[in-house]
Amino acid sequence: MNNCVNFRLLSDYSNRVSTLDDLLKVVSDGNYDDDFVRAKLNDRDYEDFISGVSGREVISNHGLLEIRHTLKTFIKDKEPTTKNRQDFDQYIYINSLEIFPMSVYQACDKKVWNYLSWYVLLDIVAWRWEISDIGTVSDRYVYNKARHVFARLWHRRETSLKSRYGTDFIFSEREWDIVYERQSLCKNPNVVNAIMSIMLKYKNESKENIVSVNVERTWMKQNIRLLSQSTFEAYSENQLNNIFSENLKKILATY
Amino acid sequence: MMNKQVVFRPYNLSSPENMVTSFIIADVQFIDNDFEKDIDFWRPGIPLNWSARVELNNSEIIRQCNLLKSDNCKILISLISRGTGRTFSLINNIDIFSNEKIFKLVGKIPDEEVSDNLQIKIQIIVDPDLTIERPYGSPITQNTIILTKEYLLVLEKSSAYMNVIDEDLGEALWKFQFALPSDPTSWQLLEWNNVIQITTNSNIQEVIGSSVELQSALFSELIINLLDYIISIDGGLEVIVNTFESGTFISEVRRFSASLLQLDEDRIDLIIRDWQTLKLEAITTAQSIVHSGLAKMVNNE
Repeated sequence: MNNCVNFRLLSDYSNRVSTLDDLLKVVSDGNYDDDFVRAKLNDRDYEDFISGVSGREVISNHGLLEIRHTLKTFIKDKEPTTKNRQDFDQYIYINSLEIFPMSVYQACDKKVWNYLSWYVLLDIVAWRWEISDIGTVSDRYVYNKARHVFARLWHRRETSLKSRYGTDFIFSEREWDIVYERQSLCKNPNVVNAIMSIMLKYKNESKENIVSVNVERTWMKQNIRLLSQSTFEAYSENQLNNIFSENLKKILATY
Repeated sequence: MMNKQVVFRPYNLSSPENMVTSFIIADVQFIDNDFEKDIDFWRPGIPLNWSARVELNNSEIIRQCNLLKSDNCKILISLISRGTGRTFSLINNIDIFSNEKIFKLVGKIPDEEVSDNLQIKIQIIVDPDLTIERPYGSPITQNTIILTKEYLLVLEKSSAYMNVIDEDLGEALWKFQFALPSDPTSWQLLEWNNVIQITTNSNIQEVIGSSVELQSALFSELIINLLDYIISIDGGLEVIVNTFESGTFISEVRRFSASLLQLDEDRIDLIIRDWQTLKLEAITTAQSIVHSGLAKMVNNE
């Protein structure tokens, strides 16, 4: 990825859970706006200088406000309906590497994502995932590769760029979860891309998805069974695609 | 850290001694039975070039695994980054029936795609020719792993991350301090080094540093005590088991518990059901490791 900037100077003071609660209250009260964010960005308390990637420009407050402006513009005048939220996810998925121009190293640092989603974009996060029930939305607000509001889409896009089948993997959350909530699968881009391309092909041909026909668990078990004597790294994406396709065919034949 | 050289031989797999390996990455060299090393100079952007030298005892591997000339053998080198979850691999075909016994491979990991640590795996893999009838127990599936050597390169954090300090503890070997908030619902974002401190006795620090057996004992005792402490807090173990991704405290407790109790990380929920049995097994294993280590030290003297 060219033109990356260094996001590693951002820190969320991870252990200050109360900070997130405080910020969520500001959002609930309707006071989390550009002025509030600008004031926070100028507040040195919210920065923590850790050693980052050398020889690269550090993202400026202006750059952070640009990211905010881009996303605010996209959701402007849009109600948080299911359809609008799906469109938002799709927009982020397609443009994530340009909106958040960072390296894999930085994108796996929870401090970066937590800082962005708490101190710069929290009202947008709350638009996408309601804050009324914190018990069910907290993992969307706190970095993890599979579920964080922005990071999950960044990682999916970055992995799909390595696919031989193109990057147009537009899926529901539940469909993405099939791979991204299984750690043994999602660490190998060839595995992710082989599964996603088969799912997309199936969806296009049958107008149904793997989740709706309720075979995904059996299919994934069959695929993971390959690891009992072997390793995914020994196979090319093409070979994996063939094996996973055969497994799916067999399961669907008995379905 | 436990010395991890567990060998499963459900099929006619090869004995580990049939492969002698040397692996050099970023000027750090792993020789055959090394396990873990760390580099403190690494920063993202420093290139990670690697080279591997693999020497095979071809005839023994062929005999033990019932290999045929028509089987396809390969060397697979995989480098798995725990921090980024990224895997880099290189696979080369080899002719195990030739006189060539020494194989050299080189590679490079792209900049800024790894963090935390790198698990290095050197594996011999076979694609058996299934058109010919073979003795019972021969490899029968595509890309069967018949030999594995593993190393661990710690890139970041190391002892500062684990929060290990040393001081004079008199006769004690080590001391653990846990400072967990009493409400487990606030544990999700905790960092390991903020709540756990390990103190080793400065008088015997060199012995601990050089003895894998003593490190195993330290690790076992730490995790057993920590789990006992977590279990004593109402709802604590449930938070450890059920939190999907989190700060380093929960993720490391999960990882270390799985390693100590020999469970899959996804199945550490078994601790809730069967902690007393698992604990006894872990203590027994730790005692036998320490016993063999002490016997070795006495014999050497």
